[in-house]
Amino acid sequence: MSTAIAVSHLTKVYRKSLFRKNGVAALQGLSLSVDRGQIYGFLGPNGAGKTTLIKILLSLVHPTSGDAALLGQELPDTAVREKIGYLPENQRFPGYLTGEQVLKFFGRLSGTPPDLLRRRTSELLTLVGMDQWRKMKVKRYSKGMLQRIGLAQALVNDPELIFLDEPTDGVDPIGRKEIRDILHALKVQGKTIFLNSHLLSEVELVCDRVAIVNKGSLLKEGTIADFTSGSTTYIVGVEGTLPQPLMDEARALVISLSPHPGGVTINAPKTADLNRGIDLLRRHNVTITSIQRDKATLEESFLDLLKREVAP
Amino acid sequence: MKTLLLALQTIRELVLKATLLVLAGISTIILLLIFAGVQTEKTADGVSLVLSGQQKSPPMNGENLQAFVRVFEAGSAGGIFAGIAIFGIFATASVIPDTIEKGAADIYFSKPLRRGEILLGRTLGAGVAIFLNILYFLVGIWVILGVKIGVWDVRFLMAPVGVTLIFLSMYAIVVFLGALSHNSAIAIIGGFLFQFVIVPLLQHREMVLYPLLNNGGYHTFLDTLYYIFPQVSALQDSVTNYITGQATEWGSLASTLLSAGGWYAAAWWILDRADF
Repeated sequence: MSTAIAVSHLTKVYRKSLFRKNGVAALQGLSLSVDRGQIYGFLGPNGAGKTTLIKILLSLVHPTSGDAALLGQELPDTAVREKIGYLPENQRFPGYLTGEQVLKFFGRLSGTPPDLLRRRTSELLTLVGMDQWRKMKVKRYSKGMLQRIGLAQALVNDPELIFLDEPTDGVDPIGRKEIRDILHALKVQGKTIFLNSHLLSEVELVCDRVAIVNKGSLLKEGTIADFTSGSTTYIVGVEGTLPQPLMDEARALVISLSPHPGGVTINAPKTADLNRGIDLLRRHNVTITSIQRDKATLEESFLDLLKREVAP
Repeated sequence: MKTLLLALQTIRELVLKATLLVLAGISTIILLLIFAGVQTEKTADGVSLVLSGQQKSPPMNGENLQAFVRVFEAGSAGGIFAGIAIFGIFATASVIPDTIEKGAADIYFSKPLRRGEILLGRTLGAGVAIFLNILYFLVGIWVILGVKIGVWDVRFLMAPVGVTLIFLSMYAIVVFLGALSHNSAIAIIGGFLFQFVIVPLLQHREMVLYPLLNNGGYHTFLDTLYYIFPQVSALQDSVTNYITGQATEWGSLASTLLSAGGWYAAAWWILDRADF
């Protein structure tokens, strides 16, 4: 599988200014690689450097040092942007254009051939649910409508690589689901999607791989499973209530066992700890109906990583 | 091709703004008034002009008549430039800041175009929109004078190009300020300040500014400033001289265009280096 995005030791320090006595390091030697055909989630708290990375990759911001390549082309490269789509966090279109005109104008600027542009404009307006407002001027659009037309604009040149910065910002839950479906459909078509989002539950639903950054540095990178399978807690389903002697013995044996609706949770960093807990339950004739690992959500994993980063 | 597309889009944007339409409306009213107000009477001694049906000029022969027409045309060119200096700056100053404001720059600059091409396309569009306004008024004047007086001064047809060049040399400062500040208000105020304060002061520096300090270095500094900024007044004089058939100072045209080109290049350089 070839590489869509290759970033090597990328650093960006915003210069000092009248109001900023010290330079601000937005990225500090960041390196990562995104394979083609993936949906890649890029997460981090505010000011972590997420948008700076996208802007460097799109040549909106000049890096202080380091290298980057898109679709095999070393940056900066103007021509490669014909194969790229971008939905910025706060896009601003010329207010006098209609939604349809926005797609046609920016499609032509992207170098899309007229025939393809005509076809894609209609298809995309339908896809993002904006067909009935295609003739309305964008200055009258709501935030959610702007996001939808912005997404269509990012796709109008049939890009191979798509950068989406907070694509569901301002979109209602139904719209979010529709956008998730669009992302899945794009993945099926072999597109690579680089997604910045604060909505971790959504990232978990759509992304193949995820990177978490903080203060311009990469904290962790991996598949969704890498982030969510690290829990040491097991939920054991049992019939009836737990006898008090069992709880007392658990305390005495230093087995981390606590009641849970419909059962009990066992915190077991090692498999042997889990087996000791189960042996205890069986010794007290407790009927076990199920055992499952309590998966951490991406959000929990994200918060845990950041907490560890802050801790001395 | 993409630069042309940007230029066309800019013209469309400016037409939709009321400012240039107001200027075109004022031009139309003036043209109608001139058309209705200027009459001629042919006599054995020549042609007399009757203005507003009352004032009658002495009879003029062909040469005098042509000189009168040229002065009238030069006045018209000066008039439309005054209109453009006010309405034109107001209408077009936001063209660059609107392109590079947060949210818009992200979209424009992520397209497969160089920043310089975007600057060129937007400036070209603004220039063409202004040119069309000037062309409308001055060709209107030319046709009215041709029909009414019978003098078809072909030389005057170059006047719209000359007045547009004056505008573009002034607009270089507006574009530079827009690229530097990202702010339409600063570009507008700076443009007006340049055109209505700096240009006249530097043009008449020997009378107004030299006496403030009797120092050779100070005088050289003022002279340098005069040549660093586009010499809009000198260019205006050159265009007026051309229209009235007097000797045109091509040197001032060249130095003004060179200076304006420098300011456009500086705006390009600023955009190229900026982070958005």
